[in-house]
Amino acid sequence: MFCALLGSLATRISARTSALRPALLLAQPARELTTRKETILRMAKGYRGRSKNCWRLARQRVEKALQYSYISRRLKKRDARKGWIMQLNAGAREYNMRYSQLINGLTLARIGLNRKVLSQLAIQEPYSFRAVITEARGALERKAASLGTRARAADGAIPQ
Amino acid sequence: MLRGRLAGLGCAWRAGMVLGRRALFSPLGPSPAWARTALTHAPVLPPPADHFAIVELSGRQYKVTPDCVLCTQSLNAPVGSTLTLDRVLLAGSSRRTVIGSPLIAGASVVVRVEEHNQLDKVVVFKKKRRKGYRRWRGHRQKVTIVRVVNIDAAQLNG
Repeated sequence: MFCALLGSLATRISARTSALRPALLLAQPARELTTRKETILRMAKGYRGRSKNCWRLARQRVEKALQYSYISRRLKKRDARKGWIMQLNAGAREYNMRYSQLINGLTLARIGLNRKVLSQLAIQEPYSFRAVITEARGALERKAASLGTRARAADGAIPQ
Repeated sequence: MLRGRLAGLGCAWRAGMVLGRRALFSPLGPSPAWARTALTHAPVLPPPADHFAIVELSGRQYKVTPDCVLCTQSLNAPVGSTLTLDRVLLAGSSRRTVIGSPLIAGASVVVRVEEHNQLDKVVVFKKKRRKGYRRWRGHRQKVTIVRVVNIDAAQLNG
């Protein structure tokens, strides 16, 4: 009963809409068209001085800003990697190991964790990070042993 | 639908974003603030999990916990389908850590595809001065939002 009512309602509404279609279209507000100028001026909102109002200045500032953001999207990736490396270096040094030794050890141990994830481990999972360090150190020691450079290990080339 | 925005949190998805909680090693336990947000945002942020894994998906590594949501690169799988990711590099629980060399044999992470979406628009504008060269391109990165259903690593229990 309820469904039937709904169905009839739906057909009635659709019939009405189709009948009134041109009128409805006219009644609807025009689709918001944004010109290129409006887009740029909107992007310039909050800029300093006349750059936020004057078209000529706003266009110059927005174009330069967009060029900077193009560059910065690439710099962001480099900076993130630098940050992870600094984090890892600090984490490794807590276990008397340098960053370069850690990476070398991880390569020897065939551990494929990337720097992002390793730095996450160093921050959030100290026990797991210690386990990774232990693996890296073990790999370095095995390499040293196989090369017969125990003496170098004793000199501190291999962190204990 | 999230429509590029994270429902209830008011923050935008970023590529590679992982939403999940893990408070294993916090000496204080879950904070009261987290307990409050857990009530309002329960569908999005899962409760703290007791184990995690690091899994590789389309060349990127993610630290995931059961029930966490992550924003990955576009995957060719229908919404609602599950994928088994077998490239697990590390798994950890409160008791042990299993490190793959480079992968953990037999371990897998099962994810369910929740949504295909696009990130916010990025304007790619290039220009060379005095050369009449300018390019204005809009770009919306295609992303897939997946939820981790299960982390399966037998070595964690052994």
